[in-house]
Amino acid sequence: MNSKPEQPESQSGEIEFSSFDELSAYLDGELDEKQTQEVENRLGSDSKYLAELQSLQKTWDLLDTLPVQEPGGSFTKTTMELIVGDAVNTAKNRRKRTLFLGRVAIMILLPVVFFATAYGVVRRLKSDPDRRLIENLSVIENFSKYEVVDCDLEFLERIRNIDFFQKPTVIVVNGSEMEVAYEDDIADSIPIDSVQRAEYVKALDVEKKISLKGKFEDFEVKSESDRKRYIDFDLELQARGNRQQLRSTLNGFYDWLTELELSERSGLQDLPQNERLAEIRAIRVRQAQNELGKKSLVNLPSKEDVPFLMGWCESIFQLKERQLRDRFPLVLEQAMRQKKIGSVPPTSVLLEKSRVENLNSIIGFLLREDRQFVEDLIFEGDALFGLYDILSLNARKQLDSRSEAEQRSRILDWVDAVNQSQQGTSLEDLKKFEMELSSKVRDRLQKMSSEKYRETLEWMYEESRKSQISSQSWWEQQIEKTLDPN
Amino acid sequence: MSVSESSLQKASKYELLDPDVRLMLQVREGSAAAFEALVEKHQKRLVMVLEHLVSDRTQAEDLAQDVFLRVYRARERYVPTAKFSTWLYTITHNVASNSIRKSSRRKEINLVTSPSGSMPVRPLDTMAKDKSNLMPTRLADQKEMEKVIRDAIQSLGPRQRMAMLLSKYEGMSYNEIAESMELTTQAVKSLLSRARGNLKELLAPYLNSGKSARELEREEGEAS
Repeated sequence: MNSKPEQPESQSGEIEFSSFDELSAYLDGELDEKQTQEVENRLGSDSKYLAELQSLQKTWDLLDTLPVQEPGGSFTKTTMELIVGDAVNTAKNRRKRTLFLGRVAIMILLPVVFFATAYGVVRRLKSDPDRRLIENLSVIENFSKYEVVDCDLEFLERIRNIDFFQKPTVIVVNGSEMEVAYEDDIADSIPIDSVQRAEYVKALDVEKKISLKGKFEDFEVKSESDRKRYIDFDLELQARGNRQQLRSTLNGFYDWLTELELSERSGLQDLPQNERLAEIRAIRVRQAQNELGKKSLVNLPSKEDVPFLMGWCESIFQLKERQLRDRFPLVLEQAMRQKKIGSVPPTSVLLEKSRVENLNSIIGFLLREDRQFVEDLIFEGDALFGLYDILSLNARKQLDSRSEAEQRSRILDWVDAVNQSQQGTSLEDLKKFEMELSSKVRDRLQKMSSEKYRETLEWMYEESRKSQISSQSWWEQQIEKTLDPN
Repeated sequence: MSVSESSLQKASKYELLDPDVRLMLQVREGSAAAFEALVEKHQKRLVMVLEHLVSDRTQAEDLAQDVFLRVYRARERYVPTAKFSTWLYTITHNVASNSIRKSSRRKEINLVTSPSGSMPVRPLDTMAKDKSNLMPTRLADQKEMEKVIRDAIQSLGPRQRMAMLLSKYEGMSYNEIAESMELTTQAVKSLLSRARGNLKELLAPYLNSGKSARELEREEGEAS
């Protein structure tokens, strides 16, 4: 046995040290093309060199026989506890340091001011009849949501990670920097300082004061343990660095839960958190798939991919909104000229329409009339890469097996499906639309069954939007024909 | 109020390429769930690597927690300049090196008081003796074979061992290993070559014969 294994030439008698390095690097795939060629040439002609390579490879493979043990079952739990403990200690130490420095400063510089201010604060709070309301203002504003959502913060974090419910409202482009603004939450406007909070409550208008009073009364009738639970949840939420995203998730999750059937919602709440998360995911995926499925489009991605695809599309639509709106009047004008649909309105009207029109409607129109523009817009930059990043392996494989043009076309179909699914008609829009109809058509509609009435109204609404013109007489004729084919 | 958020346009190369980097960025933003996901994902291999480095399972788990704790403490300063695993194993390398240094100091003291105490990194000739002792009498099953392999890995110097573990079990490139261990790629190439040579020599009897440890044992007995 050789006692100097770092010099393999003495072992084999023929393989020099530098070649040994090369062989090792060759096995690791770390040689460049030329070096690889040199090694392979020698392997073809030097049987000892080849034997050495095989021996090294076998040794390396032997290491695979070692089993890899799982860490103890509680490893993750204890690690997380360790981290939470550490975070608490760090926060305490910070607080201690801050308190110490603050005390020194106050003791040295401002003792009189301190006592006067403290006295004032205590006196004002004590004299305020709604002291408990003021103290718990944030939780009183929100506990009804906490009650429905009924989860701890860790669960909320996990929901946030699924990214189903967090909805950024605006994307602000500031130079090359991008920022996402989240929906303002009432909790963000509540001052932390108790004196300022009292002022805040006093400044509320009558309607808000009444609403707050009602919430306060609801809160007061809760059991003490429930109140404590909501207060702790609220405090912990406020202390999180990402509280804004969490609140956005909480609001989205709350809205979603309240739209569920009561039985479905209570069924969810009865599940343990892990199973609840899986069930939420399953329901959300089913809903998203149904939304797309309604449009009867072919070639939809798999169920698992749908919510992520929808999220990606929403981001892309928001990112590209300006270009889409800029393009819309040009294509609309061109389409009207080519198809000779009514008289082309003046530029100012077209521009105004592009400003106020629903974005999904604009995208739908451009997808029909100027698909190439939408395609170029969507695939510019890293957008496609971003899409690949969120799709499942199966979906990526499906795309990879196609030519680039086919891939683009498929993705554009998906975008179209998502866009159409988002063009759902609200009742408010329908009512407004109905009011614009002639009395003759309205009468016809009123005589239908409620189901048929809604279905027909939605169809008329969609048709009118697709035409992108406001020529009442034209589509009234169409509707008349549809309602009375004979 | 608005918050900065990485987007498709400004996302760095690593953010786009490495899902773990994206999780770590969520950790930076305060997500405990993202951190838990990282722990779940890396704990198994991290503990395994550490176990090979410090030769003690319990200590390896403690050190792995220390590594994760350091990752968490560094979250606010985290900027993705490499793959997450490269960064994780840089910390691991430092944590393990410190531990081995401490343990080595303790064992040096032990050597004075107890002659039977072993060095933290066993020289190859000791390893070779152990091996010859193992062969005829004790190698009987897969467990024994595993022990031979573990001992062979233990016989490597700490740096060779670390480079070997990162290459073999983490699939890292020489560049990534160099970054994790703060070495040049040439040094990594050399370390891995030597590690391979050492392992090959120590494990040669089990490779060349093509026989199991049990068969080798029987033959050894018959010959004597």
